[in-house]
Amino acid sequence: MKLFLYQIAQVRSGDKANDSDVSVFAPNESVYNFLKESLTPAVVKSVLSSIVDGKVVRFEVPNLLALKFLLTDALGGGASGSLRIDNLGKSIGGIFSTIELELPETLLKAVHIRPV
Amino acid sequence: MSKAIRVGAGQGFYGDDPWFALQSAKYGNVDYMGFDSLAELTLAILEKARQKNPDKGYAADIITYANLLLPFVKERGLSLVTNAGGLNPHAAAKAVARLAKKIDFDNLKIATITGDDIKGKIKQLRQAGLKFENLDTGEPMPDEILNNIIFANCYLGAIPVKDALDRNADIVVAGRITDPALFAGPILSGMNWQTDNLDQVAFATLLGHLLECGGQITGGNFSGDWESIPNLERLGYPIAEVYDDLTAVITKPEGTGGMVSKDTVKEQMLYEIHDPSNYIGPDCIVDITSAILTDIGKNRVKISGVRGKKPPTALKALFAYPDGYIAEGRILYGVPNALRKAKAMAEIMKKRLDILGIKPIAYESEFIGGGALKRKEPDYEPDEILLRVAVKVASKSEAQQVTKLFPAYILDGPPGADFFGAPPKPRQAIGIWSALIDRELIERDVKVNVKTAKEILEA
Repeated sequence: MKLFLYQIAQVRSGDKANDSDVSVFAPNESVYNFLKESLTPAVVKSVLSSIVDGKVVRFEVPNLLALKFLLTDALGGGASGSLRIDNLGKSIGGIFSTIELELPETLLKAVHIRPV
Repeated sequence: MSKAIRVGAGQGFYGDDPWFALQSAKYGNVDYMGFDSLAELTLAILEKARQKNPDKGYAADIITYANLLLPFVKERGLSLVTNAGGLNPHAAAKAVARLAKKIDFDNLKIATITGDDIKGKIKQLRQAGLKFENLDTGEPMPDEILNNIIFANCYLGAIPVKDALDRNADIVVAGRITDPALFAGPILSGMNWQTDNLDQVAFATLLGHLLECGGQITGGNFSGDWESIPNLERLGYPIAEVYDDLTAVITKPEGTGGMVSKDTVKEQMLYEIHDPSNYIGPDCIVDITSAILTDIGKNRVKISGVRGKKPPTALKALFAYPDGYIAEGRILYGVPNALRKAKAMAEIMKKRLDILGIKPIAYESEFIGGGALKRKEPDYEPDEILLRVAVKVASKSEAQQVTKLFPAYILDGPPGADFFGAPPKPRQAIGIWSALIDRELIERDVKVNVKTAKEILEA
């Protein structure tokens, strides 16, 4: 089933200097394993290429069923000097969560799918 | 689970709404509360204020919060920790002392923490051989930045806060300490934990991290099923109930809105920490990859399993320098072709600057409602688009000149333009240079002073 990441996961972004820091939380272990396969740094970089000028670094946090992404050079210079309206990248989590995924049918039963 | 203390979040940022703190003081049965008033831009504003008047340089929020909460300190023994001292904790302490006097609270014990402000000793450190290598690039600090520092502060940790509270301070007024230290200090002191017990220090730090953003852990900014979060109009700010077996419960005051669940807590747990196995602070390095969260009741989440590693040998310092001025203009366009009109106007403004000989350092045009967040342009015709142009220029006078260019284009540009309020005033852009400094060079000048309101006013 084709869906957006936000329909099955929580995604919040924050900032540090010119980097955006995005956390993705899976609702259960099978979805976590699926997201680990799907959300590679290369996929994330290509989807967010208009925002991220630097690189994408990923950390796995299995105890929270979470993936943490560090997006470098993503805020147009950093909060205090950036010209962007979203100088803190608060919206980047939301944009990240619009990544489209093909969720395997076997995972459908184990997950609550939020409406679009 | 024997000894327990309750530590509440009072303020998540400069300009936060004090109503939330008042609910925790009234209904949260809290022993301590922490308040974060400082952002990088706040410090720049405070430095300007201090230059004009040596009695200024602290965040004015402290007056609002002290007015509201000193009665709880007096009557219930609540203790407060704030970083609103900014660049002048002594002046902030004096202002608090004056408020205390008004309510006959002469024996209020006020602590100040100083030594984070290193602007006065930059030259001395440089002469001692420090190059302030940039944390990201490794490049030594160039002279043009060194000679134009607006403010320079090192992040101190929770240990001076613990020290102040161990000496029975009722209110601790600090400058640039880390946000978690506002809460970790009270936890270390209240639990009588040891600063060389890394798991205790790490747990206190992580709890501080959970509390530092106020309502962001109780249902605010929640990316899950946000529509299911009840009563955000009377959101409760978080409280950590801490036990001496290295467990804690995150909760919120009775009768308040919002929600505390494993899902709201985990979003804040990972928020802005970068590497979850190495969350670096002045007091220790926190590893949360073994942390366990459990829902144990309505609006109660238990935390355990946080581990600590040895603290770094250097502290992080932020050096702020002037980085030009930002002018901004906004014009609203309606159908038909709103997006095309806004784009055309953005180009006209670029050429206009060129004719006037203004050379922007940077120029950003955003089409709000039409892809300003850089995801994609709409594939339909929007009814309206707000054009926002932000221009970085070298001088304040140029920025003022740019600001004045927008109103004329309500009549002189593409049709159907609306004046979207007065253009914002030009503002200074601040560059931030981060570097590490051997902590010994900083900590030898850190001072914790505890005095009563009476002693401060008589000095």
